[in-house]
Amino acid sequence: MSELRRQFEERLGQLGVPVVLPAELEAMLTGKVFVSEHAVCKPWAARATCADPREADVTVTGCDALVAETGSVALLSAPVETRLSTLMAPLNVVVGGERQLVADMELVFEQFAGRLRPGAAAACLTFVTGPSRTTDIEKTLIFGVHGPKKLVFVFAEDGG
Amino acid sequence: MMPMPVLEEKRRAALARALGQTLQKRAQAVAEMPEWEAMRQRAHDIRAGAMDRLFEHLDAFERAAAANGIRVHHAATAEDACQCVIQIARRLGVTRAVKSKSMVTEEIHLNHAMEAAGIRPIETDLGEFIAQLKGDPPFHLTAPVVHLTRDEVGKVLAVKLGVPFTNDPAKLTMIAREVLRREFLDARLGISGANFLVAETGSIVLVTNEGNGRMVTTLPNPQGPRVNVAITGIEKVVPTLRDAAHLLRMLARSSAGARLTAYTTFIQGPRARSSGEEPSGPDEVHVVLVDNGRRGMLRDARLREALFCIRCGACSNICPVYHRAGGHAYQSVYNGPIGAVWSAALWDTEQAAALPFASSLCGACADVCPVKIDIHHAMLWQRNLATLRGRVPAWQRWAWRLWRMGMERAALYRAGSRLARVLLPQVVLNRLARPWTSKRDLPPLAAKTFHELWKEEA
Repeated sequence: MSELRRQFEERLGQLGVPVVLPAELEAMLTGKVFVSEHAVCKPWAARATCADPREADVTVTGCDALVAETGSVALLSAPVETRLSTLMAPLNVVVGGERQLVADMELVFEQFAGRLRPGAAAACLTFVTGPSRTTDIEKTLIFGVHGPKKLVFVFAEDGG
Repeated sequence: MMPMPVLEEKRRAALARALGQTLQKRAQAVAEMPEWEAMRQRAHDIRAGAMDRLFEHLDAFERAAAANGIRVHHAATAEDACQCVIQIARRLGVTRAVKSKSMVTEEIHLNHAMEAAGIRPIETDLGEFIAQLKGDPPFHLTAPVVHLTRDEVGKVLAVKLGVPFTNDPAKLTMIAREVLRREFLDARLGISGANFLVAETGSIVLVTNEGNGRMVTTLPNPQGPRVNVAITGIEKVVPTLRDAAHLLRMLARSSAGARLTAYTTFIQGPRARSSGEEPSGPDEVHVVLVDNGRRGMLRDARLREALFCIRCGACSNICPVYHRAGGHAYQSVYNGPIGAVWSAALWDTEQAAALPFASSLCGACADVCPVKIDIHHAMLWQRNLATLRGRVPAWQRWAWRLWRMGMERAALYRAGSRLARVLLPQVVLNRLARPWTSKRDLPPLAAKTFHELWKEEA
C-alpha cells in the first residue's frame, strides 16, 4: 500500500468513514439506491432503483481526487451529478481510485487548473471530509444534520 | 458606558465547559503541527498582503467572477446590501429564502430588512435555526447557541414547532433536519456568506460542517429558477487558491480542532456551462461585497490588522472576559475580543466604544489568533480613540478628574478617603454600581484607611 493511501485511510478512519471492499458494498445497497454515471460506478449501475438523488436512501458516486492530508474527497461539478449525490441521502458511498490520490489540496488545484480558470471554470468544486455533522447542542457530536449521516469509501478495483 | 448584563453562575459553568472542550480539541490539532508558529506567520503574511493591495485584488476577483458568470454587486452601507438582496428576491418573486450562517448578514441586519419587505429568511445552520426560533442573537461567532442547555433547546423546539418535548441532541437534530429539508426542497433563493474570495479564480469559498451551506448554494428544488446570493465583507479576498488552502487549514484547526471542515466548497458560477448541462446547482450566482465601514479600518494602521480575521472564534473561547460575561453581554453582533475591536471600529457609538474597555488586556486572544492579529493592542488604541473622540461618558470623565486631583495632592487624598467612609456606606456603593450589584454586593470600605492603620502600627 502506498504511503498516500495509508495516510488517506487513516484519516478516513479518524473521521468515522469505513473503507469497504466492493463485495462488502452489496449488503449496503438497500432501499432506494441512486447510482451516478461516473465510470467507476458502473459495477453497481444495475443496482440502481432510483433516478433522483433527492429521494434516495443510498447514493453511490464517483469523485475527481482524493486528498491524503485531510481524508477529503474532491468533486468538480460536471454533467454527471456530483452535488446532490453527495448531499441528499442518509448514506453516501464514494468510489475512488488509488490513482486519484494526492498529498494535499494545493495539488488538486494544480491538477485541475484548467477547470478552475476564469471563463472556463466548473461551477463548483467541493471537498467532502467525513459525514455531515454538528456540535451545536451542548457540544455533542451528531452526524447527519443536513447531509449524509454516514459516508463510506470504496477503492475501485481497477485503480480508478 | 452601558452596563453589561452578566451571566448567571450555572450558565457560566456550562459555557466554560463547552469553550474548554473546543480549546482542548484545538490544542490537539495544533500540537500535530510542529511548524504551527510558521503557519501562523504565513497566514498573517497572506492576509497582510491581501489588505495591502485590497482594491487590486477585489478588481481581479470581480473580473474573474464575471468571466464565470457571477454577478458582482457593491454595497457601501448595510442598507445598500439589504436592498440589493431584496431586489433580487423581488425579481425572482419569492417570499422566502433559505440562509446559511453568515456574520455579515447579522451585521447588516438582513433578516430584519427582509421581513420588513415581506420575505421570510429561514436560518438553516442548526444553532442559528434554534437562535432564530428563540428570537436570540447569536452568542458566539461559530457556536450560536453554545449558552443553551439541551433542555432549553428541547423547550424551544417543542414550543415553536409543536413537536413532543425531547432533550436528546440526536433527536432534536433529526427534527431540525426534517423541517429544514422541506425548506431546502422548496426554496428558490439561497443566501450564504463567504469565508474567502479568491482573486485569481473568482471563487467564493464556503465552509460548512452541517452541509447547510451546500444546500443553500446548490438549491435542490427541482423547479427553477434558483438563485444563490453570497453576502460578504470586502476584506475576505485572498490573492490565490494556494492562499485559500493555507487559511482553510488554519480556520478548521483553530475553530474546531479539525484538519478540514466537513464541506469546503469553491463556488465559481451558475450551473449549465458550455461544457454541458449540469443536473443541479443555481441558475444565477450573485455576490454582494459589503464595505459598511471597512475602508475606515483599512486606513487606520493600528486597526487594519483586525481585517485579517478569519472568524474562527478562538479568541472568544480563550478570553477570560468572554468566559464570565458571555456573548450577549457585548450587546453587539460581533462579540468576544476581535468582536469588540470590530464593533468599536464599525459603529461610532458610546455603546460600541465601551467594548474595548471590557478587557483585561491579558493578550491571550493575540496568542491564540491563527492569523496573529495583535488584538489587545488594537483595543488599547481604541481606548485612546474613545477618549480623544469624547465617547467616554461625562460622569466617567469627572470621576477620573476627581481621582487625578486626589492622587496629586496627599492632603486631599487623605481627606477624601475619610470623607468617603462617611458618605459612601455599602448600600450607597451598591446603588452606584448598579446593575452590576443586582446579583452581588460590592465589598464595603474598610473602617480605617491604610494611612490610619500604618500610623497605628508605627
